[in-house]
Amino acid sequence: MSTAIATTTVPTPHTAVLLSARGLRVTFGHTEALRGVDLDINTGEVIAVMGPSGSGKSTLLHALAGVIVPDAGTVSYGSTPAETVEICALDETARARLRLTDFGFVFQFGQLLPDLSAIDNVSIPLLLGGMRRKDALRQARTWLGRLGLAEQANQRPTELSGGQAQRVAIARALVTGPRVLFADEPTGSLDSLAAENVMVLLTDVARETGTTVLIITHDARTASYADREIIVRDGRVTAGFALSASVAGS
Amino acid sequence: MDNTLTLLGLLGTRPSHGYDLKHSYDRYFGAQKPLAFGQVYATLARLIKNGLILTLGEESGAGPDRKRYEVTEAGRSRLVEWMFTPDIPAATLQSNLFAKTVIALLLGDDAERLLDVQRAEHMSRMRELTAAKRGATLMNVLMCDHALFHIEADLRWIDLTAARLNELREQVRAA
Amino acid sequence: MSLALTRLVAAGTRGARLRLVGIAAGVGIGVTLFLLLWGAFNGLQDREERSSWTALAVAGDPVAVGSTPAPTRDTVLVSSPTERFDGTVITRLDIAATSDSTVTVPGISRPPAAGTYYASPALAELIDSVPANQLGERFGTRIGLISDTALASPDSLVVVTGQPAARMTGAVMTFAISDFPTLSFGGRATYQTLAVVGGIAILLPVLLLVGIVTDLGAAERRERFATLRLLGATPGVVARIAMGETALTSLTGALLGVLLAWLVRPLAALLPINEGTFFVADLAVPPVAVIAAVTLTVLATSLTAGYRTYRAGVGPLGVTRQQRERRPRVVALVPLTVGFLGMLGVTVCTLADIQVPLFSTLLIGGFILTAVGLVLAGPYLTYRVSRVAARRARGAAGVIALARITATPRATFRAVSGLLIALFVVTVFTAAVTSVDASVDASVGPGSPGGGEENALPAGTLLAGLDSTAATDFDESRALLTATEGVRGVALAYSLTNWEGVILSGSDAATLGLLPSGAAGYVSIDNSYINVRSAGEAPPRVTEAPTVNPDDLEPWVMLILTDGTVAAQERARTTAETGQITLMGAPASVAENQGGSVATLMRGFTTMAHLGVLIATLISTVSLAVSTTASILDRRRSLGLLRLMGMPVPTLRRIILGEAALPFLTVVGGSILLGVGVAWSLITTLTYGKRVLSWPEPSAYIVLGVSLLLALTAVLATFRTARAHTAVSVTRFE
Ligand SMILES: Nc1ncnc2c1ncn2[C@@H]1O[C@H](COP(=O)(O)OP(=O)(O)O)[C@@H](O)[C@H]1O
Ligand SMILES: [Mg+2]
Repeated sequence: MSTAIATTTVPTPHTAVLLSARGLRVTFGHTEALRGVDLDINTGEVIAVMGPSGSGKSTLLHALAGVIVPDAGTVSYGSTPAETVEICALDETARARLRLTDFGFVFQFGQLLPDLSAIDNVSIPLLLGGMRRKDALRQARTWLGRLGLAEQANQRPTELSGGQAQRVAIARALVTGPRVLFADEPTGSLDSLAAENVMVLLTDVARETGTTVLIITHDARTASYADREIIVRDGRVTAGFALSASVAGS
Repeated sequence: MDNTLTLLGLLGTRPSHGYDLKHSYDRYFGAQKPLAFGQVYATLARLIKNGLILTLGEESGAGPDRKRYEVTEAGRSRLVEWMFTPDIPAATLQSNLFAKTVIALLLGDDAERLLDVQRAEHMSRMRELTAAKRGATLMNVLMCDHALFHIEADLRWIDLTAARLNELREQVRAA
Repeated sequence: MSLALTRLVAAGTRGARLRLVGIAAGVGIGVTLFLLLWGAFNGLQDREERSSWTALAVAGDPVAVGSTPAPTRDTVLVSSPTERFDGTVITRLDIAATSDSTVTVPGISRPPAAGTYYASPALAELIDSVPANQLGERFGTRIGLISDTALASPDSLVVVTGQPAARMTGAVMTFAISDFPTLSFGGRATYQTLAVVGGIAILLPVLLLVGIVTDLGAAERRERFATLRLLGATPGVVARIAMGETALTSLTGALLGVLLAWLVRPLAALLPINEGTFFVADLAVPPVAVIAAVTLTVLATSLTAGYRTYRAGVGPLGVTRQQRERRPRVVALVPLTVGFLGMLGVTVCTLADIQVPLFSTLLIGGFILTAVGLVLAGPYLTYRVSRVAARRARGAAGVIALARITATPRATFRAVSGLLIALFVVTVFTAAVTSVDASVDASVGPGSPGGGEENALPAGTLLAGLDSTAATDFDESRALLTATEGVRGVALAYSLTNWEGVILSGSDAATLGLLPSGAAGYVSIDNSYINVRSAGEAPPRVTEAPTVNPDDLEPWVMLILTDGTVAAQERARTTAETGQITLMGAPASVAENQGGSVATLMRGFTTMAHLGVLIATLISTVSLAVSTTASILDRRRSLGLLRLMGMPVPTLRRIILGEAALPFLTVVGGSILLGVGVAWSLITTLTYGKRVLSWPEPSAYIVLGVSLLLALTAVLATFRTARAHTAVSVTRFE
């Protein structure tokens, strides 16, 4: 998806559907992790995914991001019919490329390579994309600065606080200019204040760059940074805000 | 929030006119719901009657606006008492929602949906508060946070209840 | 510390149990090899003692040349002429005894009567496997076998023949003795030095493997220990649990190792080392030593485990600081430098004819220091190189791998250290066995193949040294030899006082192809004709010697021209030895004459070297695979998440390869150069400069190539594991 960065500059917020899932089913042995999920995510939206542990949130994220291939159902990605790809139909190599170029990922912990400095960690996705080291480092430095980490550039993850480490992870996820940022409990191991700071930065940067964000969290305050939330329960999605709106209307 | 005692407390900082008092109140606490002048004067009248404040000499002209108020000794001790007596944790919302949930279960209605609707309501309120924090002063941020934490606490209760709904249904039916 | 707790922590999960099995297996293999090596070392001494009776020089002074004292009731006449068959040397003792002799000969009791012989079982088998006129007829009638108690090895070729006293002329050193020597004559420092060096070379990779294996799954264990700390265990308790767990495991492993060593003894005995295979009993290790080995192993491993755990500083919340290694320092180069320079020093002193006391001990010490020093210096060199390389890395794989190496140079180097040690040892041995006599140019000389050389001794010619003191009629022997199948001609070389060179009759010279046939008179040819020629020496010149008086000529060497086949040569030997002439030992080719005990010095250890290389390489391969896997498992979450982010699998492979390749490539050149240096030092010192290194045979390169291939296979084998363990499912505990 070489057009990724170009298209994000086109201001089409909240109109075009960017990611769309239909009838997603994922089974692990006897566990039905997802039992038929339909979901539309618009360009530029920030969505919170909530729900009890083991309800299938991470599985949903993995299926949407093409990390796993669902047993049934489709995931289409792209805002215009011309550029829309069927993620489930791609082979592993193509999906890996797509994840690298179009998606960014933030996890709860342990995603930074312990041996690398913050700046090197941030530059890795660019290097994987074939960028020259010098340019990659320059870009990584810019992003670290943007997330208020200019001084920590040469520190290793173990020397950073939890909040700083998560900000490095966000920088790493955003450095390639992804169209969708997937975050799986990014504030799960942070205290309230650090979580707050991380969320402010994440949503600010995402809105500035027009990045679509999907955040898994079971912290309501983290979720309140999103435009809307969806709730996953027993492998099914129940919309949050949309439902309340329909109730209010009736 | 007890408006009467809050006004008494504001007056405790220094003697002031009713007009100033209202503005102080609004500045600190009235971001969502400013006090009406009438309410301020009614409250002040009640405080005078209870001997917690008194009026200082009138300056010029008549009318309530010309009066300055000051806290009495009794007023001060009342303030101390108020400040250092813990509040009974408010339970109104839960009891109301609890009642609704129980009635829904009794009527065989969709209690889960009722909770979902409430959750969505809470979430959208939280979203508003979070949005309000953007660029606000620290004072306002902290006040929004206070509200957020309270709503979050309700949400937790909702989540827990939702998770134990079947159990609850059986108990309600059995009773 | 409760046993139940230890069991819970140590063997709670399948992974943990696998780890314990790995440790036990590693320790077991280590103990097995150690006991076998120790057994072999003892065995070498045992067999030296058993075979000491054939070293007659210890018994006293030989009798005077030409005198023929008669044997008495309590003395026998013994000589030990060189005997050969198809390139191998047979230990031969000729004994002349009275019929009522009271002298006992080890392994056979009574001396054999003239015309009879006793042979070792291996020799008897050899005699029976070839026609009698090639070997058996040389000794007479076999009347029994020499018992094992008097033999170094089951392969020993020993014969004791009975001779009439008249044949014991004293030309071949003859001793009149009443007792055979029982003490080894102790001049075997060289062999012992090499044996110890070889043993250490095999043992070092084993120690490295044990080190790697006991550190397996360290990351996962630290988490378990953290849980214990959270539950209230003190650091001491945790360290003791780690100790107890390792002690139990390595005890099990060590006991299994003892059992395995005992079981494979018959197999190990089949390995020819130095003089041949072993008697199984020779490889036995005294029980005290076994107990000591087991105790030491258990103590060393468990104390190390305890210390490591204690130092890791596991807190209740896990290891808060990352396990950053101490930066390697320049001091790490000291042992290597001291060891290697020490060896060179000893060598230089020897070359300069300065007596170095305890030189073999110094050599062994130097070797150990060099080998261990290599392992110690590796992390430092790796660190320096990776620091420089890290700044220049381009791709993601390079950045990740180099950062890892820079952060943990010891661990990354340890993964390849076994391989490097193996390589070092390979080089030492392959270089050492190439050693050739410094004074000889192997490509020229008498009988050398190709034969285009001017005035060269024809190939396949045997030289029979003649006993000039025995007046003999040569014509009969000549006739017998000439009639022997495969013999093309016989010539007699004479010596003449005050005459440089060998004198030949014209007809003999013609037989040898030096002159056209029909020549008369005598000719002279340079001594180098029947000797090994130095490099660059001119070919021997043939000159006429018209002034020679035939009465002054002394028969010196009989030259037997054969067709070069083994059968013909052996038949010629048998004929010559059993004829009327008295020989100074068996007829031999120039090459055989040259290849004395010095030439076989390293050859005797070739098997040991090959074995060492094999074991070291195999163990190192296992170590490499184990530690590569461990290093992936330790980072499986971050690497797994990177893959989830879209890092392609080939990048993961490049990371793994890079982490193994850099430390290897950093030190590989050095290891090989050091190996050559050490080999040079060993050979030069042990042979007092008589031998030099040359280029290794092709087989050495094959061994090298196979080792590298194995290493590569080990790394490639981890790819699958790496891929499986960085799959999405390992990252799902969010
Ligand atoms: N790789 C896997 N193998 C087996 N079961 C899995 C796997 N991944 C998820 N599951 C199961 O699927 C269900 C949903 O998991 P997950 O999506 O991780 O839940 P959540 O993120 O909402 O906590 C759980 O019951 C979990 O045990
Ligand atoms: Mg999850």
